[in-house]
Amino acid sequence: MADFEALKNSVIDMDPDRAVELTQSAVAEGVAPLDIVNTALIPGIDVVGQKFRDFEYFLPEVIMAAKAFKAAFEVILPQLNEAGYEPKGRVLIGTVSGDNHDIGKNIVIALLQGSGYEVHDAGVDVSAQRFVELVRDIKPHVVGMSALLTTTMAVMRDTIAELSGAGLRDSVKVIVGGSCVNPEFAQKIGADGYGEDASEAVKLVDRLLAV
Amino acid sequence: MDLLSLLKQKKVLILDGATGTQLAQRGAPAGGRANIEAPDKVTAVHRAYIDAGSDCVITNSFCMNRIYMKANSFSVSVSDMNARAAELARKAAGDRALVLGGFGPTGELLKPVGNITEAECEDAFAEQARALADAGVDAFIIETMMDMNEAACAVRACKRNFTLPVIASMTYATTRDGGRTTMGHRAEDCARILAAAGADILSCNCGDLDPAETAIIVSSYKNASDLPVLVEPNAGKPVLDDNNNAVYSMPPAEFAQGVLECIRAGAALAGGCCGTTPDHIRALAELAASL
Repeated sequence: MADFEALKNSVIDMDPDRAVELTQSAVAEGVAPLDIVNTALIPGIDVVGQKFRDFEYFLPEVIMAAKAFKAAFEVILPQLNEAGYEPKGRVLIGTVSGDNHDIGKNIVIALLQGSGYEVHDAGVDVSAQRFVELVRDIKPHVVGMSALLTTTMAVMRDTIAELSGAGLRDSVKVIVGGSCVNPEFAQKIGADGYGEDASEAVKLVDRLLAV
Repeated sequence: MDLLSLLKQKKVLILDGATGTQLAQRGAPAGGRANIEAPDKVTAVHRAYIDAGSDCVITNSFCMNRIYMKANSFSVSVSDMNARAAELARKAAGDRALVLGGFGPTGELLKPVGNITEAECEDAFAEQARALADAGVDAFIIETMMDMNEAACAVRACKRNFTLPVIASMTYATTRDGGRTTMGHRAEDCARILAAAGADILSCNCGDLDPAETAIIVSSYKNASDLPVLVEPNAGKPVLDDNNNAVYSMPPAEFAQGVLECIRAGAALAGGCCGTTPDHIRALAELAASL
């Protein structure tokens, strides 16, 4: 019987080796890959997110827990591909121009991928115009923008305006996050949602796409 | 006069306020690029702070180390960038104010969480320190650090080749446990590590604390160390203006009252970070003169 509780704890305890080992044995027992993700890995990351909000965990713990999550997910990725598994949706994500901080964005990417999304990473320092081009090319269901610096938050507002100008605003959901961003800002600039942290971002995307 | 002697003479030594927003108001690009593209505006910002009462101004060289500059595609060398920043500050200061050579983070995290080694980090800061010292700065100031180990690398890098005083400034995410950075480092531990690395002055700038809350950090530093303490809080916490720009809007008088709490807790130097203006510095200078 797969030990979901121990696997969940291996993520919370930031132990990639244990996470891989427990995932391998769950796979060997024939547990469905998505059950592993939804029953152990995501709940583990949820606890990490809560500990971060409570100032019980800090950035190093979140990064290491995300590494454990990613290591476990890489074990089940081949099974997912083999099963001809369809992604839950397509997400484009980037850090806005003037900002080169990608730690938070990369954690969100790892979690979205782990949760079954196809994620396109636009990188850092992404201008409003560049977001529009990428939305045109990639046709994502959701666009995520990240910023750490208050001075770059305006780019989020501008990107939404550019998407509207290009007639693309209605074809995507736009979400924002980053340490300088808050729900009030997200609402004021006309974003569809705000994620307080990486695990909240995944839930937000699930909610917006109703999956 | 050198920084530490001046500090002994003054009840509260006054530093400068925000540079980025002041440059933006004058239509200059943000950060180090302004030294190249709008040098007169950089000098004008320094001058405005000295006119408002700053005893020291900080060179416009935040994060102008090789690791950050490479990641952000700067076309000038570390030495040219920092020499230029120091010259512009000196041009404004003359002998009216001291020039502090400013450092910021590399933008990368140290191993094992991140990708750079302490040796790489220290070498990058040593190169920046060389450029600033050769251009004649009076002291060094390392700011906005969330990792005490990276800050310690910078302190050691400054002390490796130079005897100039070093101010080491951390950024806090919460007042919990006497102050914790985003990396989880406690203010008291930061004080001990930075003092051991050779810092002459401990500091707290930017971050998620308002000016009055910053007094908690001052107390933590004072519990752990006898070093003088600088505070450079933001002008409150960011709020959205009518155009949905994030702005720091705490008025100068309220800012100065918050800093007064820090002075009561033992701070001997004060300046401002994000959103502070020459008016905030003037309010601080007037407050200091009244003590």
